[in-house]
Amino acid sequence: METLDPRKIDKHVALVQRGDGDAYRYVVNQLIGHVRAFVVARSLPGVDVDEIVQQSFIEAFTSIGDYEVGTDFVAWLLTIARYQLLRETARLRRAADYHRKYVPVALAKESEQQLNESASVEHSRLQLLQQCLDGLPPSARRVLALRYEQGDSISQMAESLDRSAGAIRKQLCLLRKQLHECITRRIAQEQR
Amino acid sequence: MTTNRFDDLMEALLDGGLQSSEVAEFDQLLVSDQALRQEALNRLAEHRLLSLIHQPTDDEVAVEAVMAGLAQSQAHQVESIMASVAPTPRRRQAKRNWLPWVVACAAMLMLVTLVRPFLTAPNDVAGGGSNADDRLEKQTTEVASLLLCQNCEWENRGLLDEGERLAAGPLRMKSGFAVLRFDGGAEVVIQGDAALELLSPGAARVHYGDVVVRAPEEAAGFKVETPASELLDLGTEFSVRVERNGATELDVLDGEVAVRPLAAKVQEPRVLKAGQAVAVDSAKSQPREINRASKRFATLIREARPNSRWELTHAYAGFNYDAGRLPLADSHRGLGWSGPWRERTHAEGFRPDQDLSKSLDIVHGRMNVAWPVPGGRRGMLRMPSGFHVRIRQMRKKIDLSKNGTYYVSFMLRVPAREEVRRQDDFRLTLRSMEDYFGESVTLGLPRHGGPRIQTGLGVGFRGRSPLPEDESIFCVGKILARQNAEDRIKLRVFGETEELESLEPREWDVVSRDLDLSARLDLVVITSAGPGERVFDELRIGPTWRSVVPLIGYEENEE
Repeated sequence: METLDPRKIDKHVALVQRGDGDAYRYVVNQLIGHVRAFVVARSLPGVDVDEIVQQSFIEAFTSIGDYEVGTDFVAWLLTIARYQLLRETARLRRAADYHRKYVPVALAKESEQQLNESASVEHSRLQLLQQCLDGLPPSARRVLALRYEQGDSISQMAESLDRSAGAIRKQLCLLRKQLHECITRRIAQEQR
Repeated sequence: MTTNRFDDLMEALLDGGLQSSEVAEFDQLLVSDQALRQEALNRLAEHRLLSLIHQPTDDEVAVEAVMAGLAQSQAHQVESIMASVAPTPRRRQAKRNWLPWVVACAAMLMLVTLVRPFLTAPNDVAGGGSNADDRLEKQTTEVASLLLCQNCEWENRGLLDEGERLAAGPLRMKSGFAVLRFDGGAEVVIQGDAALELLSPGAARVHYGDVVVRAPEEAAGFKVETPASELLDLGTEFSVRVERNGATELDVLDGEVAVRPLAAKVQEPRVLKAGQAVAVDSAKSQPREINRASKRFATLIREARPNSRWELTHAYAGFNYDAGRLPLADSHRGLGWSGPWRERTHAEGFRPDQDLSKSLDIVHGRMNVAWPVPGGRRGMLRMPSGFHVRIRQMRKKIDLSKNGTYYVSFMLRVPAREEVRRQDDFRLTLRSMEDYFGESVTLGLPRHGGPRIQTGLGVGFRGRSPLPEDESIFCVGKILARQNAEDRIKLRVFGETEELESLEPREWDVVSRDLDLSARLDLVVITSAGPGERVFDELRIGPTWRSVVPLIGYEENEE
């Protein structure tokens, strides 16, 4: 992912504010990865990520006059995405069946509370995860690729790798924990 | 114990195996422990980000979707304003109130201001009203397309190319063999010395010459006038010969035709059936039976042996290399290119996670080639799962600001997968090196939904037919660029069981509307996204249907 140039983004936002609709394409192009990373990381199962991302950019365009050039456009945009996501999360929580079937209420409430508080930049978490992933041995990466790239179920993975479903489940669990610990460690290092 | 159970439940949540009773149990576990809730949210976030890393979303499509959504949203907003200020019938009867109209005009102005940048080309915004008038005028006078042209010598229309649109008016051919398709649906073969006048999408006048008309059921009612008679097609195929003195011979090859001498209009037309032939010597004479055995439309096409016209191809890439990894710098084979295949540059959206592969993966025999494309059985490009972009610059630009017809064809195979995801996509985009993110033409073949056309302006068109599953497909795109008229883009996908005809198809899977493009496109960008590999081959870009579609008499391109 390219490093963002806030001055260039501000320049294009100013053009949009002056009525140049085409300049908004540049803004969307530069920031769509950041917004998506945020929405993906902060949404619960059942949320239509593409829809939230799209609505966030549309809402930002509609309110573009409210943005003060020279401040932080990414933070401003992520706040809009946060409210879009909050609305959707609240809607899902109100759907009684949703929690009974998929997500514990306590988790959904915690998610909402965090969304109410801040818009953490999940893009850095994405980069840290990529670094941690790169540190895994190829055999571990292959297991993760089957699960996340191919979208295979545990039983499909077991068949592909000629192993038992239980063993695959256990290895996946260990790998995820390993990645979680790696990220937690790196975040702590960054904050020091 | 609690930690172990937390892990089990967390894993079950991530892999979609959490039962209803476990959801309640997990809830109990989390409700009293804020640290566990935080960890659960973090692990859920990491799980979802892992999916994002392994299945990178296609930013280009996402940006287009945002821009299209924005245009739609703005249009809807203005419609709402218009609806709210539009006078009700009751108000209309009351005293005139200028305020709603001022607001409505303001709303219209807002619509134009807000939506136009997303829906039209930048230079169109600067365009004057006269262009729009010209465009309207020209569009209303075009009545047919030139489908095939073998050794044609035209007398009055300069150099006509296959695929071109034809305006109403005289059409004189000195020699050759041509096929026209009228917009009403009728197809007409013209042979040798002939003079016609294209009257409307459903009518032509033959001054002299030999023509054969094929009008399928939906084109029934096609009318042919000659100096001596008026022939009304009733869903059929018929042959007409008109001498220079106007004498007309009609031979009904299939179905029925109504014939009436021109000077006897009060008279009921005579209906002829298949196998009947008549001569009408002059406008005043009655039809008389004759013996005539004319050739059928299909026979004439077959005898004309319209073969592929590879010599006209602007650009060709057949990936005819040895199997294995081919460094991008060595991928120089093909015709009409300025250089080898390459990755995106920083100005074109380079991403280190997507653009660091420095080679092409060449495979052999990975596609069932159902059409006469021998090159398709040799090397082909494999695009593995993930997000991949390859770019190549053409020597000849596709200039959308001028009149021109362009065809693009390629073969693709997408292995079947049970689960189809939104990001499963393949597309071929024509872009401009000068303005990479400006106007473009995309022929898209997503697994989710039907084939689509996009233009880089937030304007897209989608077909309804799903793509054939687990088989090779042959795709043809047609770009009809016009300087002062609507540009038209079409896309057709052929499955393995579908034959590629000598004439371009009547029906296309996707057809654009209301486009006005002016970019000069010189880059071919192929993009493959999502899980599962794709195999791509035999890319051709040319000015006619026959320059990109394999027909009989095939001769391979020299790479």
